[in-house]
Amino acid sequence: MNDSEISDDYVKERINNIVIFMCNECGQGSANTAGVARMSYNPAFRIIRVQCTGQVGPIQIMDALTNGADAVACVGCCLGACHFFNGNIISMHRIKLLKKVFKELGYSDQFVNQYTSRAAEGETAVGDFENIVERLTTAIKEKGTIKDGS
Amino acid sequence: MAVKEEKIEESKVKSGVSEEPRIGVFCCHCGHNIAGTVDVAQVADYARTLPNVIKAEHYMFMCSKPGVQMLKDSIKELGVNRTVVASCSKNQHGITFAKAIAEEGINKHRHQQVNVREYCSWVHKKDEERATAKALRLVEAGVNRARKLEDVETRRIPTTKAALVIGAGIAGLRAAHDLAELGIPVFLAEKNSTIGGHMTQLNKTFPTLECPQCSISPLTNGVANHPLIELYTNTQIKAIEGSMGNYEVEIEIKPRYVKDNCTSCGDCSLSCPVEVPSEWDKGMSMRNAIYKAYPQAIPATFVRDKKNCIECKTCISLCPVQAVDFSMEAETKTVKVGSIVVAAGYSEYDPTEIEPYHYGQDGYEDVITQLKLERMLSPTSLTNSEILRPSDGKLPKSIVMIQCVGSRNDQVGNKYCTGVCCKFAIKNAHILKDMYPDTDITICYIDVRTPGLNFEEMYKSTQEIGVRFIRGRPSEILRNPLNGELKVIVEDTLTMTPLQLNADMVVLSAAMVPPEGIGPLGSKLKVLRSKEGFLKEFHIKMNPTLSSKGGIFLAGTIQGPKDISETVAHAGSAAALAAAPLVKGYIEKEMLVPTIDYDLCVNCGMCKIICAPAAIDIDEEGKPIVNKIACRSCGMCMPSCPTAAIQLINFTDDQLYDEIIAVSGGGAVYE
Repeated sequence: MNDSEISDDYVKERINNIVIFMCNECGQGSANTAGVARMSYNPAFRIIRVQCTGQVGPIQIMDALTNGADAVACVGCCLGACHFFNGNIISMHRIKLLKKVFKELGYSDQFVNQYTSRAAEGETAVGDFENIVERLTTAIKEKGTIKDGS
Repeated sequence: MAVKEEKIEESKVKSGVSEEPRIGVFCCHCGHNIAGTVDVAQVADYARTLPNVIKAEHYMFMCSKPGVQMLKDSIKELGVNRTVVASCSKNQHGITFAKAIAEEGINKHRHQQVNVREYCSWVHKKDEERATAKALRLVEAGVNRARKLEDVETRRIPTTKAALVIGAGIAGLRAAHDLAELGIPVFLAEKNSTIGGHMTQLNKTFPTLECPQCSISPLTNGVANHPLIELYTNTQIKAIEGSMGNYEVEIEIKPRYVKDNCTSCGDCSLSCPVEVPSEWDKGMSMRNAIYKAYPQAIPATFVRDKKNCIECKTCISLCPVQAVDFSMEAETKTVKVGSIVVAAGYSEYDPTEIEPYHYGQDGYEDVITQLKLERMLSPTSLTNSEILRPSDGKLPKSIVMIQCVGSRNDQVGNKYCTGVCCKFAIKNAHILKDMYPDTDITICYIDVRTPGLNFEEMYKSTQEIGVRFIRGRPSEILRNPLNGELKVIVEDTLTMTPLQLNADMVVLSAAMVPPEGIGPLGSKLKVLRSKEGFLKEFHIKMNPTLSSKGGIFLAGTIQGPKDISETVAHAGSAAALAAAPLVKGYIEKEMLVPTIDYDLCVNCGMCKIICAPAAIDIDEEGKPIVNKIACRSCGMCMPSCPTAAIQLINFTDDQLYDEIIAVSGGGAVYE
């Protein structure tokens, strides 16, 4: 793909499906708070409820990507505040490893990310979502989509 | 340890896996909240086309009485056995619908809540078309998920009505007393020979300058005489088994070598030829090999220090009641308890590792810690509350206090602020200035941190009476080799002036660090520790007194540095939480736990390593076994399994896959 022909908006409009694994505590809580506060975000985000981000393994992430998701992210509690103790940290390490795999395979490492949010602040969830779109847009412009490879 | 489990709702738990799923889908309008953005009729029409869906309806308010009745009617008339409601969040009305189907005899875990209000209609108000498309995906995912939902039973686990409190400092005493007042028998285990902990060593407590002995003595006496509290001193924890509600703890009671009929007359101690520095007095006085830590100590029975005793046996012959008995042996005892409160306290940081301060080195005897200063100031001290230099016994003309010794210091590995050093340094400076108005007192600080009621006032009044505050961390304490005078080298960072302060005595405000022996205790309890070494709380805001393991609670400074008032509040909270399941008599737990397929399991033990509440044990054959009572249903064991043998019920890889394929359909198309 040629960078000069593609604008950010062109890519952003076409991002249609981002799967978010959200933990039962802060993740879901922050998305609920964002909803109650009517904060608007891209309809591409689809939330799957899991007990803890530590429950999400490479199998789930790869399942989502092979079945059509543009990107995957795990949203858990803030580091040190996991309601199940340390699931978010374990998930973070897991995703770091997965990012390495993506790089080795020649993909961008932005198709999978770990985020944190706070149940009391919907902004944190929406901020995470906006950050995902930004990073994904840059990644797609540089290296193509998850379907293209490199 | 085997625990009898009593099944409840047994009639409602059917073997539902084999029967054909019959799913009812209900889309809520929520007034205009959902219907204003999402085309609910289209969603219901689409849901009707999905496999296994028997009924798909949309209604104005699903949570209203007629809405819930629709749900119940579908179960009665159409034989629906799994329900999907597309409305608000699981926390808001998911519970309402789950209750409703439970009333109709369907297990409440067969309800699947799809959140189209918070996750879709409210946040995509301007894009109705894409919002509807997203709602279709979410509902399809919900239906896919519902198809394989299994029954989860709720079990009632009886608890042992007794509690163990580890540590008898102020936190342990408070927790033990509160528990006993709730009618719970308490075993109180203390490592040392006396109870009371660090608080008994202090001279005065801030901010009111009260006598700590007077504050704590009602509690120490109350605990020692309480009919429900069994006090064990000189005791250590050997092993802990079991899980929430039912623990078996093996404790080892070391001998005192003095029987309980001791009248604490002190004749034995007077004639003892051995003298060693007193641990309780922080080395500021000497004690004998048979001794009582301090005159007001509880229990009042003397204790023999076997390590230092030369076995001259003078004490045996001198004791008027023949209480001294060298033949006593350690006793091991197993106690059965429902909850454990850990109140092991803290240790004062040992500043010897900070090389420039030369603490504990020859010629630097006048460099002491705040706890030693407290001992010197105390009414029971060897110096009669006078401040005398340890090196030559003279009254110091200038005293320099150094803050943040061992805290806020990356080099020694403690990044945290202890939070109480500023307060006790200011308190001691105030007391010293009152006692010796002619003595120069300087406090070298990085920041003065005195939050809370009355503390800022204490700081201001201390400044007013002439205590000097210098902002800067001293780089070194220098000793003049000719006359032995000490100099503190510090830069006043407010005026950018390098200073050399003459100091007859230097007092180090040492940090609070995890107590000695916390490592072995932590691993016996199988609770996790924070990176600073303290025991980690379950959740810093919402549950600061629960440990990583159910049924084990933290009280006081074992969780992190605290002052006395915070410690007492923390311990009270721990006692209340620890008492709740014991007073009630049972724990109700949903068996949302992982199952292990032993045909797939390769006995690698990864699940055991990753399990934070230590709910997975390895049996004699090397097979992992899930402790259903200790499990917290986080599912972290699932991805750790290399063969996918361990699966959390209703969150299995299979069920998640069904949901993922529905949600992730229709990715981006780029020309």
